[in-house]
Amino acid sequence: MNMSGLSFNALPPIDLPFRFFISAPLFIIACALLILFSGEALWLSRWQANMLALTHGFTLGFLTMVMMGALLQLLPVIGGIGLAKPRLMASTSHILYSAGVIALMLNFIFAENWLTISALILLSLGFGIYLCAIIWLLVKKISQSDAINGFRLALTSLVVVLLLGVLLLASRAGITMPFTLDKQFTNIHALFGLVGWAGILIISVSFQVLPMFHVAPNMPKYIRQYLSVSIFIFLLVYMVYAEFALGLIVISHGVFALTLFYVINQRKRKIDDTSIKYWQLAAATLLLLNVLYFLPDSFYRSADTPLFIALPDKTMLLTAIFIYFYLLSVIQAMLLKILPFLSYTHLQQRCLIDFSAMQFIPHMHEFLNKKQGLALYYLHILSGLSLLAVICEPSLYVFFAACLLLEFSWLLLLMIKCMHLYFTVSQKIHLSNKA
Amino acid sequence: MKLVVVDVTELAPPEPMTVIITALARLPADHCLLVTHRRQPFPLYEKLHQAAWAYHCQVHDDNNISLFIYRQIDQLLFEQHFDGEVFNPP
Repeated sequence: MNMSGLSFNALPPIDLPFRFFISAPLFIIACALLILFSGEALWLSRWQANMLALTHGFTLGFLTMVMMGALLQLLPVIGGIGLAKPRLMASTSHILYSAGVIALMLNFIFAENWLTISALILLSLGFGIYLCAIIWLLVKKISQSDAINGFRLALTSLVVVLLLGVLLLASRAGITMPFTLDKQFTNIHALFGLVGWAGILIISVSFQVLPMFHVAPNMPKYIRQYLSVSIFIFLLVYMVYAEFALGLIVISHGVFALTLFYVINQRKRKIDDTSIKYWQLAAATLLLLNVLYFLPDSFYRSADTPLFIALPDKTMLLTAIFIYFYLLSVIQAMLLKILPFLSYTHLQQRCLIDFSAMQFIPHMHEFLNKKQGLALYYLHILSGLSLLAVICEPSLYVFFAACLLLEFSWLLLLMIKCMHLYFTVSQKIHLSNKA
Repeated sequence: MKLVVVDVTELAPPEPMTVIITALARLPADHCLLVTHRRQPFPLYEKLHQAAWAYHCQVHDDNNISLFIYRQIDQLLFEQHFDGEVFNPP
């Protein structure tokens, strides 16, 4: 029996996650402009300076930004405890982190030493403050659920990514390293970021989000207990046996995809829902990645391809699909749920003190209209397809940039609309309490 | 003390909270609200306390909890009627 009487922190003020969420699409809009001005050359290699700016704009500016904001809210909801001094921690880390990502992108584009050093300092401080606060919580205070254990592994991966990134930046700034930072070193940095930090976090969040928001059954126990930890172990193995471990990582994600399909199919209320469409798209993407990964090399960039057209560079293709159709899809699925839910919940909790305030709260769908969410989904598919097109044919870069601009300006608009409604209703409740 | 029972196990957020708040708004004096839920509504707890409600949670398994909510002034009454009694899920 779990007795009451524990001291639980309430949700942190809503403007804290909101500032992380609203910053995220701005970075993709900046990425779209970068694509527009970089031309075809951007797509020749993943090592192009502007391509590095682009990938970090996507992964740090959008994906990590949203996940940092979401964790602020998820930890109190899932673990039953919030952060100490959330406003000071979240505001400071958000400003430093945002400035750090901008400096990092500019450092790749302009190759100026002062930009590299600024990025190094700002990102270390921004990440450092945020990570210290969250890690302190995860080590000391919180429950041992499977999701929380997954969060721990994801954050450990983030620490690895950050340390490797700091070494790479320091080397770029001219600081001599006692060892060589070769391409394998960069691959470890990228893989721990995409699979360890973003991937394991998404898997862990799915253990909670699908049963909670979609009234689906829990994921099977062995998946909850072993999937995240297996992927983390494969990441460690990757440092020594790269090819072998990468295969296992891809297969593990295939298993996750099948589990996702199973759980989604077992929902009690099979309501038509855009977030579910996103999850299904993400799961189908992981299965497609299994096929693409295990295709013989002759399919890629080869005149002997059995297909009517040779596939482009394998690493770039698979990474682009993983980021765009898997990671971004799940992040958008969560945003479509979290934005209206948080707005509604924060307002609703104020009604416990004054029940009459319930009259001011609009229906949850008014915070984020279903049709507008569905439009975002179709825009996401369109820009994803345009990404595939530009990887095959770089001259189509204007099309991809335009699709990105459209999709993420729309997302930004939906966020502003939701937040505006929240603050309008909040003001009404405030005035009614005063009266 | 009498129980008023609500089952929110098959509702998606934020419906459970709406049902709970509506039930609390209508809860007669000397009554206790028994909520059957799939998970503990952690963020609700501190707000309940601030609004002069008390709560008592029984966790049956990963997917099933019973949450009792009553007025803080009824603490003794709650203990007399229900303390130590386990409410098994239906």
